[in-house]
Order: sequence, then structure tokens, then C-alpha cells
Amino acid sequence: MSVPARRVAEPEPPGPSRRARPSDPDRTPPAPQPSRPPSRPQPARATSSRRRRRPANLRFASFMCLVVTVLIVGVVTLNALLAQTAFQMQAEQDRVQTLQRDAVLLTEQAARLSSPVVVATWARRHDMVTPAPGEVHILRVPGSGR
Amino acid sequence: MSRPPVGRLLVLLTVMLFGLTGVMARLSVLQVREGTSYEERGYDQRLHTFILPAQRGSILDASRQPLALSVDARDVYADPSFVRDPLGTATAIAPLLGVRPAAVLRTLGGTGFSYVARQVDLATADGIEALHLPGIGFLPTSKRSYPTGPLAAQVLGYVGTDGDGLAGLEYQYQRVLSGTPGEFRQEMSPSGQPIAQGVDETTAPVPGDDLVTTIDRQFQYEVQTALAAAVKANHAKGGTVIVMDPHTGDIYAMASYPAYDANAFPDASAAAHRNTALVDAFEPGSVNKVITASAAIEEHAVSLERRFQVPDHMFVDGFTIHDSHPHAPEAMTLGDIIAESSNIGAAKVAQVLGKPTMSSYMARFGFGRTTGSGFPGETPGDVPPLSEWSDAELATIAYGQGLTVSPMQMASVYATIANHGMWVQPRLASGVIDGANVFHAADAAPTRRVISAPTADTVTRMLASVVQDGTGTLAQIPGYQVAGKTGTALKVDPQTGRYGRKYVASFIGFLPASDPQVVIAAIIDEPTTIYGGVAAAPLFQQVAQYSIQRLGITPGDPVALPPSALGLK
Repeated sequence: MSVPARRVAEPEPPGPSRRARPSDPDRTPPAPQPSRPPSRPQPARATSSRRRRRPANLRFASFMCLVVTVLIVGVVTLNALLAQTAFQMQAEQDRVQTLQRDAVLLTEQAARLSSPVVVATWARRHDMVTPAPGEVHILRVPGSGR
Repeated sequence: MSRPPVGRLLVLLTVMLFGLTGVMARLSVLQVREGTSYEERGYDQRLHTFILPAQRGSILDASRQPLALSVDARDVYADPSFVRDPLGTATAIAPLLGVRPAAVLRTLGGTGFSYVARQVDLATADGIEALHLPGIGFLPTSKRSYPTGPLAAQVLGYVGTDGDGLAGLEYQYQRVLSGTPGEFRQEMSPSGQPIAQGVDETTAPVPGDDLVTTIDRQFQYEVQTALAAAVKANHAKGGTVIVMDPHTGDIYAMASYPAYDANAFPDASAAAHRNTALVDAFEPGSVNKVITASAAIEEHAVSLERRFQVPDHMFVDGFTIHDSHPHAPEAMTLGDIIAESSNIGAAKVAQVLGKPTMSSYMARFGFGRTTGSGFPGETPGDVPPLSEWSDAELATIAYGQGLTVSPMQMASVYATIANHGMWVQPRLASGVIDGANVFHAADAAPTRRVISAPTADTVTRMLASVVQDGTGTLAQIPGYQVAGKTGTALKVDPQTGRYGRKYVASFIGFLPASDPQVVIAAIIDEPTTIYGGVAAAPLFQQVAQYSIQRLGITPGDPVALPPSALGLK
């Protein structure tokens, strides 16, 4: 059935359609088109566009939701990490202070224990004696200062 | 209706206008003229400043071992209004603090804040805190610790409970050690709550630098032990020993007896606190003859061969002066006078020199002024002004009576001889270590030429003669040639103002004579055996023997002794 071929040849009424331009005499006449269903009325075309836009909006909304969620999760995670790092820093600072305090206490303890008074007392208790002056000989090493 | 009382309304309006004008005027005064002032007063009321104390620097010995350092501690305080059971609280705390409960109970009896104990060590504070006693609190603080206890206690000094140095090096180097305190500034409400968005600033404190001393704690221990033994052996009142490097002025050891534990300085007597080497003055006695001899040689007033006829006593200006031992008149050279420590001989040499020359040499050797060490309370000694010198004073000053000096001044005289006539300012600090752990050496000690090197070397020969054949034979050390001089000085009785029956015995010298490495001054106060050659020379010898070991001193070549008319070798 090739009935629609006649309808194609009919001039289109002037209107807002994009195809309603006057035909250009220089232009090659349009080639016969394969048969296709008649074009739908305008209202039917608008409904179809909305149907096509709805999934796009949905996708955009979903995307935005995802972005916002990721941002929120990111910010919260970053905040948590910062807080955790701050706690760790505080703990480390406390530890440094404690270690510094311990270092001073240990230095003091070491100095106390290595004090000549303590060492000499310990040595006497263990029957150690200092050498008599005659028992100590100072040897001069060639090349040394004194 | 009657008309409103216009007159009264006008009056009321006028009064209100006046009132409003007054209010406006007062507002203007408050807001405009005095606004800034009130604003500042309000700000001051809100702003609270807390001082953050800086960590005090340590005092280290020459090998960087700590002699004094600050450790964390806590103050224990009480708010009696919160203490429910004062007796129970005192009984619980007292054993931990090592005090009687009554002492603690006294601090709990007031109405406001009171300290129960200050600068308590952390372990003790933790023990008290574990009791959870109501009304008992703790404040962080620091405590000065002296890990070597009595070693160099008089040199180091001590700090008060507020952390400021009160004596010794702690006081002298307060600025170096104390650092810069920090500050915490915060705006607070009247109830003590911090105001949000208000001032909240912290300036961190800068810790003090560490002070590096020239003291060798091992040397110090040996010296203090030897001094204590010598004082006890001589039944003396006290004593002083100084060990120093004659070339740099560095003091290896500085000991005073009686000593005390620096950790318990409040319990020690005032006499024990004194660093007698620097703050006490004494009449030097015969050790001063070295200046008389130096002046005579430097001025070419007396040749080494010249012989003096020296009796055992002499009348001068209405006074009788005499030698320590009776003897027949003898011919003595200058070397003999020094070796035999003849007072009459020294007086005769001084008469040759004259008062101005003798006075000038006393000043050149640093008498009458401090050594410049900067030690708190250092005495300049007392040398009479030249205008007050009589013939008798010329004679007595020649052998060290009638003037006072500090042991440090006297040790510096011998260090000058040992350093070939160059005086070097003694010093106790060699530098500081800053917060970045960088050592900054102190400037080299100032020096000045006092006598020529040949004169110093000649005097050294005389001093070697003292130890080899004279009054200082007990200072001999086998294998080493020691140079030194004995001193036996009468002390003035403070009650009568005249010479009494008590003496100061001393021996000051150096070794080896040809290349002096160390100068040692040994002084014994009021020994039963009065002579320096007997009471102090053995102490010198003991310290010198340790010096040889500690410093690795080799014997060196012997120096020739000066000419003698007495047949001294």
C-alpha cells in the first residue's frame, strides 16, 4: 500500500513548525521517504518530551543526592579524622611531657647514683681502696701534650 | 471642667527637662569623656593573666654532669572549709610527708587557703592524692635538686621556694638559669567562666640555659674529703681548699669546711653556708712574703746573692716583731728568708723597698679589690691605704699581718707566679648550653701582667726551695718538684680587737715547678698544730697527689734553687 505518497506531496500549511519554511527552488526536492506512520498531533509530542525529561531529572536528583551524601560523609569523616588526630596529638603531647619529666627524673637519679659520694661509699663497703700515691705512675705518651 | 494647671505642667516639664538634661550630661560624661577609662577597667576586670613559670636551667660540672637541676614536684594545699575531719586528714597525710600530725593539723585550722607542704616529690604527692581526702588539693611546681649532695654546696648556693636563686652560682647566674616565664591570658566572667570569643592567648615560657662550671665533681669530692679529714685531724674550726689552673683561671675544686647538704640547706648553720674561699677574709701570714720577694726582684732592689743579717726579733716603731723560732742572728739571702720564712728578713727587705713600692705591689697583685669572679658576697679584703702605713705596718705587711685577703686572692697571687707573672682572673663558669643544646663558651678570663716572667721564674725557684729544704718539706711529692710557701698567721680576737692565741695555717703552691699545671691553696682555720708547714702542707700534698692522677701531670724538669747563705741545697 502506497497511499501516503500522495499526502507527502501536499503543501504544508504555514505554522510555527520548524519545517514550515518555504521550499527553496534551488534545493533538490526531498527524496521520497519510506513509509512511516503519520506524525502525531502536538499535544501528544509534549507528553512524550516530559516522559523523556522525567528520568533525566531523576538521574540528576539521584546524582546530586549522591554528591551531597558523599560530601556529607566526606566532611564527617574528615572531621572525625581531624578529631581523632587531635586526640592522638594531645595524647602524644602528654606522652612527650611525661617522657620529658621521666627523663629529668632519670637524669637526676643517674647523677645521684653516679655521684662520687655514692660511688666512694659503695666502693668502701666492698673493701675497695684507692691506690697509694707511689703506686700510680703517669706515663708520658710521645706526641701527647703534657 | 476647669482648665488644666498650665503653670504646674510647665514647672513639671521644666523639671523633667532639667532631669533629662542631667541624665544626658552624665551619660555623655560616662560614654564620651570617661568611656575609654571604663572600658579599660572592665577589660582589666575580665582579663585574667596566669604566669607560666619557665623551667630553670641546670648547673653542670666540667664534664657536663648535673650538680643542680629542677625536677617536677607538687605543692600540697588545703582548703579548711572543705576538710571534714581535720584530725583524720592530718593523721593520714603526716606519715607520707614525714612530719608529725600536729604540724599538718596546724595548716588545716585556718579559714582560707593554706599550704600543707611545698615542693613535694611526685611519688609522695601521688600517694596523698590516692587517699582522696576532701579539702586537699595539689598545684604543679618544680623543685631544685642537688644530686651530688654536699659537693660544692657553698659554690652552687641554693634557690628559694619561688625558684629564685638566693646564694652562690644560683644567685649569680639567676638571669641565665631562670629563663623567661610564659603567660596565659583569658577573659573570664565574674563567675570564672571563660568568655567565648574573648581573649585566649598563651605565650609559652622559655626554659633557662644550663650553666657549665669549671668544677670537676670527682676532684671536688676528693678535695672535700681530704679537707674534712685534715680539719678533724688538726681539731680545727674549719678550712678552705682551692684548686685552679694557673693558665686559664679555671677552678677545678673549691671546698669549704664545714660543709652541708645542698638539698637540706635550711637545716645547715649560717657558717656552713659560707663559701669561705671567696667571702671570708683572713690575714695571710707568711704566704704573703711571696709578694715582698717578687717586688724586691722586680724592682732590682735586692740581688739574690745579697745577705741580710737577720736576728730573731726587731724593734720597729715602738713594736717588737719576731720570727717564729728564736735563733741567733744569721746571714740570709732572699732565698733563705723565703725558705725559712723569716719575718725579720721579710721586714728588712720591705724596708729596702719602701712603703709606696710595697703598697703598689699589693695593689698589682689584686689586694683590696675582688678578683672579678662576680661571686655573690666576694670580699675585696682590706689593705690599709698608703697614707696610714707606719713603719710597723710596712714591716708586718711584708710578712702578711695587718691586712686581710680572701683565700681566692691569695691563690691568684700564686697562680700569677706559676703563670710566669701574668695574673688570670679566676672563674667558676666556662659557658652556657642554650635551649637548642648548643654550648656557648664564656669569654676567656681577663689577664694582666703583674711581674715579668724572669721575676716570676726566680720566685718559683725560691718557692721550690721552701719545699725542698725550708718550712714546707711535708708538701714534698716523690718524683715531683713542688713550689710553695707556708703561712702561719695570728688571728685577731673579735672581742678584744687585738691578736689572740688562735692561728690560720696555710700552704699555697703549685707543681711541677718547671711547668706549673695546678695551683693549690690549703688553709686550716684554728688548728691545734698552728704551723702551716705542719697543719696545712700535708693537706696540700694529699690534694697535689690526687691532682697528678686526675690531671695526668708529669714530673717535668727540676728548676735550680736560688743561692743560699745557710747552706740550703
